[in-house]
Amino acid sequence: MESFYIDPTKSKAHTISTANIEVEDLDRLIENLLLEFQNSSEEEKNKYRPILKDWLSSMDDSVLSQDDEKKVRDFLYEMF
Amino acid sequence: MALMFRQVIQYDSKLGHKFVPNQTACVKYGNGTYLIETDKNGFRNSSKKRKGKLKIVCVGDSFTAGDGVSNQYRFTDLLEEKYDCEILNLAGSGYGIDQQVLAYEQYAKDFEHDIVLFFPFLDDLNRNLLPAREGIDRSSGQRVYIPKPYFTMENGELLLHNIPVPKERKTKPLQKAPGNKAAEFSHKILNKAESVAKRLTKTFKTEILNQSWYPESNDINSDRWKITIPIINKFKELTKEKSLLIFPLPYKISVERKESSSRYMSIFKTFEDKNTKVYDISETLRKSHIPGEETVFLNICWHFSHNGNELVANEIGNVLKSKYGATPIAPTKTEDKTVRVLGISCFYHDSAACIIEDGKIIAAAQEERFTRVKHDKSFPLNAINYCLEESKVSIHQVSKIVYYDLETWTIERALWNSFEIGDLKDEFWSAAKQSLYKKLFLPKIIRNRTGYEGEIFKCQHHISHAAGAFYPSPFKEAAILVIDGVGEWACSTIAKGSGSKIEIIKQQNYPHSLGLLYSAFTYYTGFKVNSGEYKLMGLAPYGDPKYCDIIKEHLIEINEDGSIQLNLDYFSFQEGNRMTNSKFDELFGGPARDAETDITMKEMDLAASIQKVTEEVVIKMANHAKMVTNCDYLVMSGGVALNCVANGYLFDNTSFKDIYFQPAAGDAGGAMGCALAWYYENFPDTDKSTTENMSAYLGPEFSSDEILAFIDTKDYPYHQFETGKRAAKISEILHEDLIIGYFDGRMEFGPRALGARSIIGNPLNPEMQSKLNLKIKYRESFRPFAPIFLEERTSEYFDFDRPSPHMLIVKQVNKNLLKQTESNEGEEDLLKIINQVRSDIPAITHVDNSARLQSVNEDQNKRVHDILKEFEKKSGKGVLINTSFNVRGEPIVCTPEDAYRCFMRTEMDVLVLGDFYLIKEEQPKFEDTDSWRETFVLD
Repeated sequence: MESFYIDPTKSKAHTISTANIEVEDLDRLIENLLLEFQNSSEEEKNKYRPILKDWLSSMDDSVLSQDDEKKVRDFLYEMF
Repeated sequence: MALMFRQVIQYDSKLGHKFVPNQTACVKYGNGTYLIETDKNGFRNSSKKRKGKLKIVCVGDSFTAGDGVSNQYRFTDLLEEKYDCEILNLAGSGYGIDQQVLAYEQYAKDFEHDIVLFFPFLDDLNRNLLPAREGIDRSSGQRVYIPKPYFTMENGELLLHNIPVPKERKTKPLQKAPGNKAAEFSHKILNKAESVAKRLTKTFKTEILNQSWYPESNDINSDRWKITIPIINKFKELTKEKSLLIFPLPYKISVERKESSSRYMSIFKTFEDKNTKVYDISETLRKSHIPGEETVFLNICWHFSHNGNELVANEIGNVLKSKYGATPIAPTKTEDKTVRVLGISCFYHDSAACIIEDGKIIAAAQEERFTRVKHDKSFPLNAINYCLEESKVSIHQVSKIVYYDLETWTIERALWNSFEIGDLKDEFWSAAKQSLYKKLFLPKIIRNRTGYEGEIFKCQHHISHAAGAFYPSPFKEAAILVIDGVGEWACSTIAKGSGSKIEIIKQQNYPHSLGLLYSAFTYYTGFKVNSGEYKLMGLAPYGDPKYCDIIKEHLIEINEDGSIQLNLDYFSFQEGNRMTNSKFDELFGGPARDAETDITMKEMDLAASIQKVTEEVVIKMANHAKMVTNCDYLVMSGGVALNCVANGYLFDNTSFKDIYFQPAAGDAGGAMGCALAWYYENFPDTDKSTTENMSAYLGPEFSSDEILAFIDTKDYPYHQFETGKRAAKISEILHEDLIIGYFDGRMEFGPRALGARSIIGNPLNPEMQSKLNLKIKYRESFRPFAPIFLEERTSEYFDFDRPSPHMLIVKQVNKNLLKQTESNEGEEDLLKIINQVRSDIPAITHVDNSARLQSVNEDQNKRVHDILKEFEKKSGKGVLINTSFNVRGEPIVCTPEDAYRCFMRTEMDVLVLGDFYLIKEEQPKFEDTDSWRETFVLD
């Protein structure tokens, strides 16, 4: 039977700076985010781009100060 | 939950209250924290003090004690840094001038000094009138009135009252201070002012409540001055051989309003004589104050900011230099070159923080222990603060912060997943995006919540696990196996660790996950995903693995190399709302079990089956890891590494010489791993032995002073162990079949209680398992308890021949200790099965004659080792039951207060808190304010 393992990308550093994500400009943030994707083709990235833009421009920063989600233990959020 | 996990103020019979002695504690204050360090007498004096020429005692309240700033940033410490002097700070937060004078009288005599610096805050004058001060009770959060000593003037004489200070804290203010009519009047006015203020606007209310008395400070005929003048005169008498320098401290509001100090200063000036001088620093404060900025005061309160402390230090320094010959000295601060890395895991499950210094692991803890929310996944602010406290640093002294997951890869997987599931795409994405948003903007959260300004890094999830297992392991080279639900894309990883390097060799990607397969069965059998897996493992020995073939035929394809392929037709985890679907239900003849309904033979058989399949995959993966790495040793991490039954089989079914399991193998351990990964990646020349042989005791410890502070403040009856007889006394209690809540030393990191926060009992008593489960843990009785035993007896008691310090290996009880039992075939009554006596140590022998091992040697935990030795002398066996110190669904206790609460809620007989013990029948009636049975639900 053929193995189901995959060979990992070996060139990546194990730890990377978050500086590319700590940018104010939304378009730049999206491009930096897509640059870090490792398993997506250009075609897929093009598909994701508008979703990311819609997502990041619609979210309210107030969620960043909420801690009450700890009461809601749900495996969905724990996986993603 | 209390605002902070450490109690920093304790009862004192002479002063009313003072700081807990010999303590370092991180105090939450507004959005930040500060560190307090106290001396043996309960005052904020640091242990590392420089010997200086001019000897000075400082007396005051919270301004002088330094509320809001760490010890080294207070004006008293800044003076020591700038001048050739040595300072004893005897200030206490909340003290009136009465308590300040009493503190001086009691504690200054042991310190030869020339000068006394006295910092009366104008509000302290009012405190002199009060027999009790308002505060908040840590446990209940209620407003309480904390008794204090106070003076009255009677027939021209100053009389001291409330000595010894009563312990009882009233919930209503004392309306009448005995012998003090002024106090009675003051209370009436204050209460009236409060009731009026409640109806006013917030700003005005704050002003009224905080400053309700300050105009009186200007009136020498006021009640506050009538009692303060003789108290200060008493102070002058006490300091008559010294130079007494008085620096009155104004209200913040009067500085903000640029009000003149002339009136109250004129009253203070009346105390001046040959030895006593009064200095006005209010002008400097007024000049430096810029509204909205912390140039003098902290924004959130009336205490001095860092700048304010600096200003005051300069003012006092000028006086000391010009009038008292203080010599300025060159700054002695040396550059801190320590590389301090803080690792964080959060927003999935089991949030945690870990701090390492130059590669050495200093501290680690899970957030749940502080918030009391099991598997808490929120931002681990409490755990971070604890790590800073253990390192004795502020967040600004942290070199790097590292997060344990690459959130961009997780976002990529979520996007991919949403397209995979077709019609449900929008629903899925809409549910996931809030959680993903927090992960993406974690750097912002870190900066907002901690004030950290340095660089932030992130680490691959499985590297975090791999590093957390390999670097602390005792092996210079090892195969690394990480298996969990999913981290970014990876579900299992085979890697090789060599010196400071980790190299990933093979991976299996989402959705083909052994962890998720196991969790699907956890869900189907009615337990909670990501926390109930260990229950499923405990249930397995009761069942027959008769579903193995069905599982392998329909759900999973297993390759000889351990790689797997799941048949996704049976699972729903990709859609995100449940783990399994109707096809899965059909396969196993019905829907998932409802939680808390009876467990039937079907659940037992399913548990046995998925356990067996898991073991097969793990063994195959491990053997493949051996083949591709050619290493003699194996280290394991990831949630599946908590499956101690599978771990036990690895010793017999692989050719590795030895195996190490990270004690916090789940996501909590990722906090440690990511910090280590960053460190070794950036300092590859570091000798790996810096990190090796990590103890699992990495959490907070509570000193005898802190334990006594808790017991004494609460006035709970207690006993102290006689010197040298502690272990014997505890073993005697255990031998009487009493159950002990055992709290001692640093808390464990990871899900297992390893003798620091444990409930212990006599395993030779066959009824002990049932008793512990139903009367103490309040949980399903099928779950077995683990033994804690003398490491040197391992092979005598079990079919195993090496240490198992972290309770992550299951092995059979030695056949010489087993007894003949009747067959349980077809028996569905778990209690009947459990109550069968299977060995000479029945309470820890599971139905399949196995046990979850924790061995202890002297280096690892001497005090527990001593107890086991003593118990062996009495019973013939150096083994005890060891189960986590909590009730069902509750996080393991962290503090003496948590331990006491758990002790009183259950039928435990004795509570050991370090060098003290409390007997249940001697305790006062416990009034439980929490509905804990609802709060702590079953996993």
